[in-house]
Parts: sequence; C-alpha cells; structure tokens
Amino acid sequence: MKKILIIDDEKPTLSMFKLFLNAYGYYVFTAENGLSGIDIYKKESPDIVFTDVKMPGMDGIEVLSKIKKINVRSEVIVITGHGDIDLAIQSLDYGATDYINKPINRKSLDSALNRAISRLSIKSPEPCGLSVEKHDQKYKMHLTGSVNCSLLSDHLPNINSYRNSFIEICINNNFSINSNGIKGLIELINELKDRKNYIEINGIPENFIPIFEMTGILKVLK
Amino acid sequence: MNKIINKSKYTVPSIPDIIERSRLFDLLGKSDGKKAVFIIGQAAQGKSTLVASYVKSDKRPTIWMHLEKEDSDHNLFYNLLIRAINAAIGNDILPSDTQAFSLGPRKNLLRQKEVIKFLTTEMTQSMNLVIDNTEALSIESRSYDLIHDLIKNNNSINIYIISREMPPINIQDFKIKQEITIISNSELSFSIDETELFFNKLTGVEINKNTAISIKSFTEGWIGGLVLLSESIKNSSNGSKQFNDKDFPEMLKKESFDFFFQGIFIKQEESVRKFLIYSSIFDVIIPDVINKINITNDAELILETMEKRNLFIHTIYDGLEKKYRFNSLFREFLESIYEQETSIAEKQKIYSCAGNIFESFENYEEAMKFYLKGDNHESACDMIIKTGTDFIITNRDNELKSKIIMLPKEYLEKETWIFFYLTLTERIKGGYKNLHKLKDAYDRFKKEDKLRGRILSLAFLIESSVFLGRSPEKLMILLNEGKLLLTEIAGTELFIYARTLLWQQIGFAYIAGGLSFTKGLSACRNSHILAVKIDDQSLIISSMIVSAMGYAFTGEIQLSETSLEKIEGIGKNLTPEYRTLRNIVDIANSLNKCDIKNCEFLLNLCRENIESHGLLFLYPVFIELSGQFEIQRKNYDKALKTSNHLNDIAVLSGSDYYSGLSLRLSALTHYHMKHYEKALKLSIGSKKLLNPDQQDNYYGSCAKLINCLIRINTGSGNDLRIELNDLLSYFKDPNQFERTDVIKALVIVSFLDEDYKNITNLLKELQPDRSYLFQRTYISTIDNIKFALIAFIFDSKIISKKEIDAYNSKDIKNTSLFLKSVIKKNESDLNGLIMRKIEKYSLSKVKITTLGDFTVEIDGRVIRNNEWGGKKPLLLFKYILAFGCTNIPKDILIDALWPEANASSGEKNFKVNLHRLRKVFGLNNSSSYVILKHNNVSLSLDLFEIDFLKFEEKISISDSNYNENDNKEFYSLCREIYSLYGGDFLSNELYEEVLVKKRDGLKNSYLKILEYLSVYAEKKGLVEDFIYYNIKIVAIDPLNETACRRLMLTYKREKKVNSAIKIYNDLKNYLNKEIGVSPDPDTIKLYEELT
Repeated sequence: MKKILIIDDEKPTLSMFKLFLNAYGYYVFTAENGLSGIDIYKKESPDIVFTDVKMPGMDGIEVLSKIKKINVRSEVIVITGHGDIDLAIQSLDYGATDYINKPINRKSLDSALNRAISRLSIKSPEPCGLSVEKHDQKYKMHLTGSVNCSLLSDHLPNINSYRNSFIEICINNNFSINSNGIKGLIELINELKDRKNYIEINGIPENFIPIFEMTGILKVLK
Repeated sequence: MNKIINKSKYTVPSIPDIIERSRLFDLLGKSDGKKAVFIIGQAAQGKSTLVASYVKSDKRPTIWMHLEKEDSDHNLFYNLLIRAINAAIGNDILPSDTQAFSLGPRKNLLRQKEVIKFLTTEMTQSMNLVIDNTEALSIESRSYDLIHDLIKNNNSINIYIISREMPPINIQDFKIKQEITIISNSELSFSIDETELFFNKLTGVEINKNTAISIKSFTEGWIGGLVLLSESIKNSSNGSKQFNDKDFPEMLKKESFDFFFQGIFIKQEESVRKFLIYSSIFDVIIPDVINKINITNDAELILETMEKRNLFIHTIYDGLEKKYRFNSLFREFLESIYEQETSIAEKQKIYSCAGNIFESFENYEEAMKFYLKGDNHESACDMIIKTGTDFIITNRDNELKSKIIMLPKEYLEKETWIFFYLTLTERIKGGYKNLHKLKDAYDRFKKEDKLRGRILSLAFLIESSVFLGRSPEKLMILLNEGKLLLTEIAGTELFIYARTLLWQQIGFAYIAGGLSFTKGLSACRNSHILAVKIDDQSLIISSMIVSAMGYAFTGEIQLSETSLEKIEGIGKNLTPEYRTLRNIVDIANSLNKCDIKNCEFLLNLCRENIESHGLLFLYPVFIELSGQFEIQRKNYDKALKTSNHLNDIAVLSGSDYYSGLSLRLSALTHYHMKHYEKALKLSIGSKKLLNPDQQDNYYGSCAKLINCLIRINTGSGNDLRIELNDLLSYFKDPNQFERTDVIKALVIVSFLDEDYKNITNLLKELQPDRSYLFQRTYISTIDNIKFALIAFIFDSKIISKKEIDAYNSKDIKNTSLFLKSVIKKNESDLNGLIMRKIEKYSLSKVKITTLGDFTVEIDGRVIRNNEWGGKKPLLLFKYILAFGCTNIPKDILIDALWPEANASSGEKNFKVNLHRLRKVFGLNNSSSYVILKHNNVSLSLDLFEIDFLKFEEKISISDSNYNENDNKEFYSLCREIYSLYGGDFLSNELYEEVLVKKRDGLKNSYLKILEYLSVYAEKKGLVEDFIYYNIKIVAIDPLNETACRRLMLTYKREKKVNSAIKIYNDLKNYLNKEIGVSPDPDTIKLYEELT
C-alpha cells in the first residue's frame, strides 16, 4: 500500500483528502503545518507528498525545498489556489513534480497520482530527453523526463533538417517541466515554425494544460 | 463437518488423569479479578492441562481459543474469538461479521478493537477466556494488538494467556499496577511431593522420597521430563518398574526431548509408528478420518491408549465426537520424521487421500489445504472455487490469497474464478488496476456464460467503481447491466446470495453516487427481501444501512430513523456505519428542536466516527448538516466556509448532487445575511441540481422553499404563491418545520397581495400547541418578524406581544415600516385598521436609564442635554418617571413643577413644556410617546424600555417568592436584580422631593436584595461573596452597624485584622459625625477582641 502525506493548514481539506485517498487504497498521513509535515516525512518516508502552497509559517515552497533536500527523488505535488499559475511554475522550479489547482477535481488528482506512481516505478529519474523518429513525411519528437533546459543546443542540434514537415511533439506520462523548460519548449516551437513546419503537441498531462495555455505554448502553435 | 472441525479450536480440551495441583489452583484463584494471568512455561510443562482443569472446576462459562499460525491474521483471530464467545455463552450475542459491509475502506482492526472494547467493558457476565498456544502467532502479528486490548479493557473476564514464551505485548503498565499475574516455569515445575505423587499414582513406577528428590533435581520439575522418564522406565529392557539412575541422562532439558521421544517412538509397533507419523499432518486428529486413510483401523484404540499414558496427546470433546490434538512439541518431532521418512509420492498420496475424505465430508476448506499440500492442483482449484466467496465475505482475503498463489500461475488464465478471487483479495486497495481486473473477470464470466460469476463479479465491480469515483455515465452502464441480469433470473431460486449482493451494490451505487435515490432505495428493498429469504443477517443489516443512508441523503430523517430502528441485535452498535447514521439522524433531530448544545456534541461524535473508520460516503451529508448547524446558530462565516468545503467535496467526487447541496447551503446563508440577489442566483443553481428530473424529492423541495423565501425579498416571483402552495402539498406533516416555513412564507405573500382572508385560513394551519415557535426554521429573522407582526395583527393568540418584543427593536421598526409601505396602496377600512395596528411597531423604541447616570436613547442614539429644549421639559419627563409613568393627573405635575404659578399659567407652562418634551421623540407621532388623556399623563410603555420599571417588576416577583428563599432560582433572581441597579435613581436631581422619595424606595429595595444575597453567601460558605455584598450594604448605608459587625467578624475569621479595624473605625467616625453616638457595646467588644 503506497503511503501519502498531505500537508494543509485547513483541517476540513485534510479530512476530505484522507477519506478519498483511503478509499482509493492509499495509506494516508496528514499534517496541519509544514513543520510537522517535515517531521512525518522523515519518520514515515511517504511515497507521495501533497502540500498546499499557501500556509502560515512554513509555506509549501519551503516544505518542498526541505523535502527535496532529504530525498531528491521524492514525489511532491503542490496544491495551488485557483488559477495561480505563477506559483505553480515557481513550485516546479523548486522541484515539484506536479501541481493541482484548488478546488481539486477528480481528473487532476487521478492524473497527478498516476504520474507520480508511474515515476516511482522507474528505478532512476528520467533525464530530460528529446528523441526523434521519422514516419514517412511525419516526425515524432518524444519529449521525456524533467524538461528544465534549452532543447535546441543539447537535444536537437540539426534543427535545419526539419523543414515543411508535420511534427508531432509527444509528451510521455513521466514528463515534467519548469520555467527554463517552458522557455526551451517555446524556443523549439518557434524555430520549427520558422522553418515552415506544422507542429502539434499531444499527451500534455491534464494538470499541465493550464500552464501550456498561460505561458503561451499553445498560442505559439497556432 | 466443517463446523465440527473448527469447533475443536474453541473447545476446552479434556483432562487426562492428573495430579491435583492445589498450590497452583490457589494461585489462580487469588488472581481472580486481575486483568489477566500469563502462564508462561516450556513445552510439555502442563500449562494447558493446568488451566483446563482449573476452568473445568469453575461454574463460569469458558471461552477457549487454541491458536495456530494462521491466527496471526487478526481477522482470523477475531473470527475465532467471536465464534468461541458465541459457543461458550450459548447464543450469538456478537456478530462475527461486523466488517462484512463498509462505507469506507475496510479498517477491520479498528472495528475489531471496538467490538473487543464493547465485549470487555459492557458485558457484565463473568466468564473465563483462555488463549492457548499463543506462541503460534508470528512476532509481528496484529492479533497481539487485539489480545492487548482484551486485557486493557477487561473488567469482569478471567483471561488466561498460555504461551511457551512471553508474548510481545506491552505489559509494563499492567505489571506496575499489579493488574496481571505471571505464572512461570518455576511455579509450574513439579515439587518433590508432586513428583512422588505423579510416579506412584499415575505411572505405576514406584519411587520413594529420596528418588523423588533426585528426579526433581534431574528434571528441574519439568513435567515432560517426568512423563518421558516414566515411559523409558516402563519400556526398559529388564521390564522392571523400578527407577534406575543409569536410565537418566546427566541433565534432562528440553534439548534431550527428541532423545526420549525417539526412545518412546521406536518401542511402538510399526503400525502404531506409521499411525503416529501420518497423524502428525493433522491439526486435529479425528479417528474416523484416520481410519478412512487406511493408516490403521484402530485409530480410536491407539489414541485412547496414548491419552491414558499421558503421552503428549490431548482429547477434545466438542459434544458430538471425541477428537485429539498432539502436544505441539511431540507433533513437531513426528512431523520431522514424516518429512524425513516419507517419499514425495507417498506424501502426495496421503495428502490427496486426506483431501478426498474432507471433500466427502463437505469440509472444502480442509480439503483444499490437503490438496494444495499434495500438489493436487485441479482438486485444490475446485475447492477454492467452492469456498472463495466464504473467504471473501468473512474478510479472510489474505488467507485466500495465500492459497491461490500456491497454485501454478496458469490457473489464473485457465480458471476465471481463480483470477476473480485473487482480484477480490485486492479489491479497493488495488485501485484502478484492480478495477480493470474486475472488469476482465466479468467479461470472462460473460464469455464463459457463468451466471454466478457474472453476478458476483459485477457486484464487486460496481462497488469498486463507486469507491474509485467512476463517472456517472460509466456507473450507469454497469447498473443497467446488473439490473438486466437480475431481471433475467428474477423469480428463480438461483444464486440468491449473489443476487442479494448485486442488488445491494446497485442500491449503494445509486445512492452513494447520487444517481437516483428512488432507484437506490428500490434496489435496497430487493436486496433486503432476498437477504431475509436466505436469512443472511449480515446482508439484511447491510441493505438496511444502505437504505438508511439513502433516506439520510435525501433528508428524509424520519424514514432513515425507521430503517435504522428495524435493525436488530446487539451487534448493530458495533457497526460504525450504523452508529454514524444514527448520529446523523440524531443531529438532524437536534437541529429540528434547536438543541444546539446536543447537536454540537453529536457532530463531534459523528466526525470522529467518519474519520476514524473512513466512512467517505457519509461525509458529504455530515458536512451539509454541519453547515445547517452553523446557520442555526447564526455563525454565517462558518456556514459559508462549510458550504465551500462541500463544494470541494462535490468537485473532487464529481457529484452534481453534492454541488446542489453546497449551493443550497450557500444560498440559505446568503439569504440569512440579507444578500438576496446572490442568494437568489445560488438557489436557482441548487434547484436545478437537486431536482434535475423535476420529480419531488426532499432536498429538491427544500431548495425550492429556500428559493421562495428569497423571492419574498427580491420581489422576483409571479408564481411565488403557486410554488408555495405546491410545497404545502409536498410537506404534509404538520410537525415538519418546513411546512411551518411554507405557511409563514404564504402568510407574508398573502399580506403583500392583500389577500387577508387567506392569512386567517393559513394561521389556522399552525399547530395549536405553538410548538413551531421552538422548531428549527429556514426562514430568516427578518421574514420571521414579518410573519410575527402579520400574525399578531390577525390573531394575537398565534404570537404574543412579548414574543414580538423579544426581537431586535430596530428590526421590528424596519419591518413595520416595510409592511406599512405595502398597505398604503389601498385605503379600505380594514387597511386602516391594520395600519393603526402596525403603526406602533414602526416607531422608535426609547431606552431610559435612571438608575445611575440618566440617559435617554432613541434607536441607539443618546439624546444630548441641549435637545430637551430647556430644563423644564426634562424635569417634567423625570417627574413623569418618578410618579410611575402612567395615569398621572396633570395637576400633580403642575403643582410639582410650578408650585407658585396660578391655574392658568400653570396650565400654559405645562402645555408648552409637554409639547417640547414630545418633540424630543420626533416630529411625527410624537404624541404616541407621551399621551395626555382625560387630563392624565402617561408614557406609552410599549415604546419605552425603562430600567427602574424592570427593577421594580423583578423586586415584586422576589417579594412574592421570598418564602422560598432557600431556593436557587430565588437567589438567581436576586443576582439579576442586583445587576439591574446601576446606582441611585436620578442621582443628579438631589433635592427634588418627589424624586428623593422614589430614590429612597428603590434604594431600600436594593438593600433588601443585598441582604438576601449576603445571607445566601453565608449559607453556602461563599466568604468572598459574603464580604462583597456586605461592603456594598455599608457603602450605601454606612450606619448599618449589623453589616459592619458581620464584616468585622468575617475579616477576623479570615485573619484580616487590619480590614476589620478599618471597618470599625469608619463606622465609629461616621456615627459620631452623623448622629453623635458611639457604636453598640457588641461592636465595641468585637473591636476589643481584635486589638
């Protein structure tokens, strides 16, 4: 049974989370503040941590940083207020593997949980990767792991070889991204568009769609 | 057969010929009343024999549990405990399946702990509970938690824990408090006398005292050693029955056990040896089974002989037949020989043979065990198929899983039942992955046309789908499929258990998923009918609980309560679902009765139950009630937070229904906060979500009612009366607060429509006992005032003036103004009458403070001195107050205020100043405040709140209750009067005779009250209060020598001599100054004692 720790200063939210996650078959620990959350993390080593960002005292970003210091591979999912994309990106920069918006809907929670479990099943963390395969006139670019850097120089040196083609950027289930990665992705799309390619992105995880929308990635595509 | 075999695990073993061990019996007897007795000793130390013989000499019923390794699973331990208790007490007082159905994840250990707590704390019947062979449990077993709880909560049971070693239970606290007894090897070992008795009386080997001393020293009193020694002597080559030191090893310890067993074993005939070896594969030896295996035909004879010779075998007689169990050490010895000397083929043969026999006895679980041991997978698979459901419904998931994984993996592919059962062992905790597997199982059963498999897999698939929150569309597909399947076989006698379960899960899904409560309740009814038919108590209770949940969800609290009341048996309170639903019903009832305190207590209890047992599906209804509770106590911020939380739940569970409840709660809160536009929007949303199919349901109707109440204030409703009349037809019960709310709303709407006839008719609908005044209400305070005023105008018996006055005066004024504005449209006679009746309430209320600082407040605003239009109008007002406020002849006032004026100038002065006085209370309606009628002046007391009048009213009550002055209520009244006296009456007007007279009268009443309070404090020994009240008396009346003496005496007792002296000196000075006398001799004497 996987262990989950939830950190939130609102008691009813903790109760609700606990009831739902228990029913899904998880073993749940709860903490009403960051400090006791860290203590529980050290004691119980939960597989997945959900932490609210806005909390009095130690906030979610600090909790995230501390947990990442204890275990860099920990799966920390940050809970942000409705539409608070900036905070979400900031959390991703600090190493959160995912985020969900309040009020939390079932689809987002399931997506975050499934992706966390999928990443936990991998022995070593998947590095940022971009591989290309060609099918007829169509290219499939597979974007994997934590995208946190420029994609052009390191991963796609021969950008000029893609012209007037249909390019499908495929995102896998273990994908995560931070602000550098977002810049890198926009840069990549712009470069590809400049070369008259038609680009499509598929497989964006449920919770990342608002980030893709707000940061203009989807706009660049259009 | 199944039951007989299992029974051996909870049957007290028969006692062989034994030596009576009175010293140990005494020790056990002295431990009566302790929480537990631990009997800890090495193997074959006679532990079980001691306890069995002790409890058999006792008249109390004995619960015996013989543990085996499998009981490390706390579910099995629990089941064994309950069976043992029910067998010992004689009837099924406790349910073994309190966890058969769950509205949350199966937290069985917690439920089991609760039952144990109930068992040990609530059951008054005295009994013995023996937990034998405890060492069989694995070290990390959670069954130890249950044993610990049994001991911790124990009040009246004699608990005996028998084990080779100390179980890993934290007993430190028990030890410190001397709540347990530990009997160890040293006590259990045979004394010299007992050794002598053992040989001479039981074995036929004669020994003397010295030999007994020698044996005791060799064996250290170990009983196993004594038995083995006697056997070795009897079997010695010379056949002598005399003890010879040479027959004895240097040190007889447990390690030399095998040596002696070997000694005994090889002396047996080959057939007996074979019998012993093969019998060791059975936990319990049944002669009939042994005979059928063809090991021997004389099983009974061999076993009886061994028992008579005390050869490490116990008899168990369960009332039907005699069975045997080897001593565990001896069995281990025999098993090791079996392992060494029996070929694999032979083992397989014997296991299969045992399997066949048990199968023929229809004991499929035992048969399965042997088939698995013998690698007879086909037959084992058959047995698993036959028994799998039993394992699942008795929560023995782990045990079933351990059996299934012993089969080769191909069976999961080959046999759908095996795949299905393995999946079930992971149900819910296996998450979505398992959901897909259940779907696979269902599809496979469907393809194979296995009806029972289809029904069962669909039932569990539905259950998991609900828990994992699948979308309503996907759930509906499953439900329709289930209903179709059930309709196909309706009326037949096929698979009734499986059908009951499927109906139940369909009902659960409809209700918990918020899909359709009507259909859910109908499915529950079907499930209940079938459960009754097969007399399955667990399913009967489950179906009723789901029904009760359905009713609670729809707010039909009475029906929910009725459903719960039908659940019988002691076990119901041990079911968290039952308890929590009961809480929910009680919360709703408390809310309806406005019993806030009880409601708060129940809400906390309910939260605790829901959270500790993970009762997810009861959480939303609990939150909804919490929100209603906050509205009831006018804590609107909290109510809004609760409604937001309910919305969070709705979003997370994807339930429109919960969204509807959240909107409804929010709408109601905003309505009470007078945010009518917002409330209206929210209520429209809630109406849509709670009543999607436009069919009448409770919550939907409540949403409609709230919508109507809001529309009274927004004026947005042409069809308001029609809708309210519809609601009146829906809420039929005159005791329902919702009906009262509808009537109140209709009264207001009728008033607005000037349909006065209808108001009269509607008021007749209200309960004559006026119970509705003490009920919960959705209607806001403001609308309630509207109703109250209208009702008061039309029928003052419905609402009294006092009840109207209890509302905030500003609210009453505003409401009256509103009502006035409505009736202005029409100038009929009736309207004129109504207008006059309302008029009074539309005026401001004036609050007068005369005791202490004089103030006059109109609608909370203090009248400044310059607003009185001079000193005389103010003085006139004060005289009116001093003369008692009503019916004061104007001549008296003229004489008092203008004593030297002639009649006409006096009259003129009076008129001028009365006019000025009236102006203080407003230009319009000023004459309503100060009335001049038939030359008498009166204040309109309806419009005034005057402190001294209230003071006098209470004084008059206290006077009439004086004889009961011992009574607590009387003193509570005195304290109230005390708090009303803020100082002397109109203290600024020092020399006005009339006022002085009034002031002195009030002061004397106050002093009287202080005396009462002083007496009460003295009676109750409240020294501080006594001093306090007497200081107050002296402060008002410094010449009160009695009070001074009381104070001096008390200070003296309290060793506050300086304070006492000060009192005396102050009194002396005051007496001297005011009347030129000295204190009384008694006072002086008291002073002298002080100094």
